[in-house]
Amino acid sequence: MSLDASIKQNKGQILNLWLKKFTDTYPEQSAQFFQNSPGQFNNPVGYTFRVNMEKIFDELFQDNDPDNMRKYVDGITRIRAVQGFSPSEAVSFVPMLRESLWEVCGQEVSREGLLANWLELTQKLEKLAHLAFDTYMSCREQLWKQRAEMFHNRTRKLLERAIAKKPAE
Amino acid sequence: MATPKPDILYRNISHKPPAQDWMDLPLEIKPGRYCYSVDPSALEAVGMPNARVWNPLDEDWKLPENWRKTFLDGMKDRLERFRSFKVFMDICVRCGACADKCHYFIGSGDPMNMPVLRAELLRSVYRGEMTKAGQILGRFAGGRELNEHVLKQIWYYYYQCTECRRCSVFCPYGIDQAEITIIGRELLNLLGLQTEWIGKPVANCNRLGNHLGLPPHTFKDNIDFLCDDIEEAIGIRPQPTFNKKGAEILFITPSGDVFAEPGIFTCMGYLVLFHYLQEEYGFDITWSTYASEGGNFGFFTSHEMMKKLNAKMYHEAERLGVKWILGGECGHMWRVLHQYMDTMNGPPSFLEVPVSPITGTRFEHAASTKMIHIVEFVADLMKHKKLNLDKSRNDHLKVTFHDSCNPSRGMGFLEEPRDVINKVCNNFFDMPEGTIREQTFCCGAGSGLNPGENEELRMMGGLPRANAVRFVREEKGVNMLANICAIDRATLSASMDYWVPEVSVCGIHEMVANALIVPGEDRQTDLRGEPLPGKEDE
Ligand code: SF4
Ligand code: SF4
Repeated sequence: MSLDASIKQNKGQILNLWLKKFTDTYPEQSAQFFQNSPGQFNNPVGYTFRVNMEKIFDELFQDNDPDNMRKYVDGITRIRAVQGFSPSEAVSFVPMLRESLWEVCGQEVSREGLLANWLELTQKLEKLAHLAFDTYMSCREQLWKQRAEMFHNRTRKLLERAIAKKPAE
Repeated sequence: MATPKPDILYRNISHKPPAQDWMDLPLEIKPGRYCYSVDPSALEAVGMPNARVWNPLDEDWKLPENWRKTFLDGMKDRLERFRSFKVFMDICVRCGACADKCHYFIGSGDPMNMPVLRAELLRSVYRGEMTKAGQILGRFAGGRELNEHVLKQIWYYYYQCTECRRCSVFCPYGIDQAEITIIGRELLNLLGLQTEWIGKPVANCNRLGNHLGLPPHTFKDNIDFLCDDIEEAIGIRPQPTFNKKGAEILFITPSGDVFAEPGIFTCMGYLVLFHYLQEEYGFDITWSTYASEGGNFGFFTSHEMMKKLNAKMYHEAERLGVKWILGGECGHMWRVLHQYMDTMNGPPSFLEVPVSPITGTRFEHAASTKMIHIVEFVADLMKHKKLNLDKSRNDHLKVTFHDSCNPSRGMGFLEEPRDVINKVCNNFFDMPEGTIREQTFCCGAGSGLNPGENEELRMMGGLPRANAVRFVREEKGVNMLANICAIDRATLSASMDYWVPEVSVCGIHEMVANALIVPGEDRQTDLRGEPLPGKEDE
């Protein structure tokens, strides 16, 4: 069987393992909640992770369209960027995908001599890691920008007007 | 030593936090989640104790020598004075129904943000220090001693609770963490452990009547400037009155509406509406430069401070000799008015039961407080068809509504805002059940948690709300998130920028004023200066 076929066949197992690894970066109670609690609205973190992980997975083995990929990676990274993780922890879902793939399909890679395909795949994952890191940085920059703007907006009108008034007085 | 290879380094990084009993969790005060400590001058200005310079990130918080006694005596005193507090300390069965209902837990994954554990922080001290079982059995009975570590935990997590009450809706016993947080913060204030963003506004409000500390002439100037902007947008200049003795009604709104975007557009909405009512019906309302703040950050400090800051509303109403008070779009202001004002500072014998001078409706539910909400006042005007409206002017908007925690959960104020929105726009879509009305998700910043420095906390806490907005954005094309709270307007704007950037934020009265056909108007734009639908090319 080809590597792609093997991965597709084991999609469910890989996704579950991947989600578990990723949510295990939270304390136990929260990890369980993120993994198991149903509901798009009651558990937006778990839901967003699950949905976007599946989309990333599918995209990776289908068109690998950069725009789509950016959207899915953003979904996950935007959450991680505000949760107090270090940058590497925030984007650790990418290496965790590699680990999950290897744990499920690694034996097959060795047995069937699919190392070349594996290397090809890891290159794709490398690109994904870069994308995740860029997304993380843009989220952090946005937070800083927002913080600056918040102060600005709070007093802008007062300042504008104080300045506008000066010559008339 | 050879440098380890990156993949070996990576393998050794454990992303998995250790599983521990909550009492043993180490405390890490993370930047982005805590608020700066207050400048001592702000505490001194209002006579709050133990003012000093201290930094939450330092090991030494410079606590007063007898801090344990102060805290525990304060707790005993409140257990006696507040029956609800005593009951909430005693009856939790730790069923966990509330555990996953807090927006901060849902968004952050920090288990200490589970309401049950937040309460347990204080409850464990109650058990350990004040009950026999706790004193003998210690942690086996869920008790522990109050020490610096515990105190710091309480501080850190009681300033990560917006007092939104969502958890209480799901508790079979109705245990209200908001009330526990209120008392917890009151105890922290006995030790001078206040935040800058709450302490400063309190001091400002105490001296000058509003949070930013705008002196009366600046407050008036700012409203005059808004009148300039209105004139530019609709060709008519409202003529508000200030401190007018003998006016029929006094108007009080959060000061955020007067100077901060997008609240100023809501404020312009009030001004246009009052102008219309004045021209059409001789409506007589006045603004106060003394009671120039609807919000009450005293509520996040202590019951006494809340009472003191609230008192100015009735004082000013009495001084001006008005008949009743109309309040603007605010959140916690209404919690204070609805739940506390009458007992604290009322009932005001010098005021009358609010009666709409235009429709004759008597607002019986405010028979004691003598103060009503502008949305109910306007809903009544609309019901009696007293406003000439052109809904289509809001046709470029697809609107959803965020129920602010205080008016919705605190007051049961659910239909009136929707009523008003539906009368001024053609495209209204509610967010999914479980995220609105009584179960609404907090904006993530109530109870004084909206300074700049804890933005990550706000984004995490705002995620459940934003997530529901994103849903109606994707399903219905929603592009405007309406609300009736000044803190919402500021907070949700940033939250939308981060989570759902296609959605803007407004107060309801901005839309009301945009739809209102004011006699003699010449309108090309809405109050934000954007062309009205159909006038884009003119
Ligand atoms: S729902 Fe009520 S009784 Fe149950 S754990 Fe929460 S506070 Fe305690
Ligand atoms: S009152 Fe609101 S913020 Fe506080 S614990 Fe309950 S749900 Fe969380």
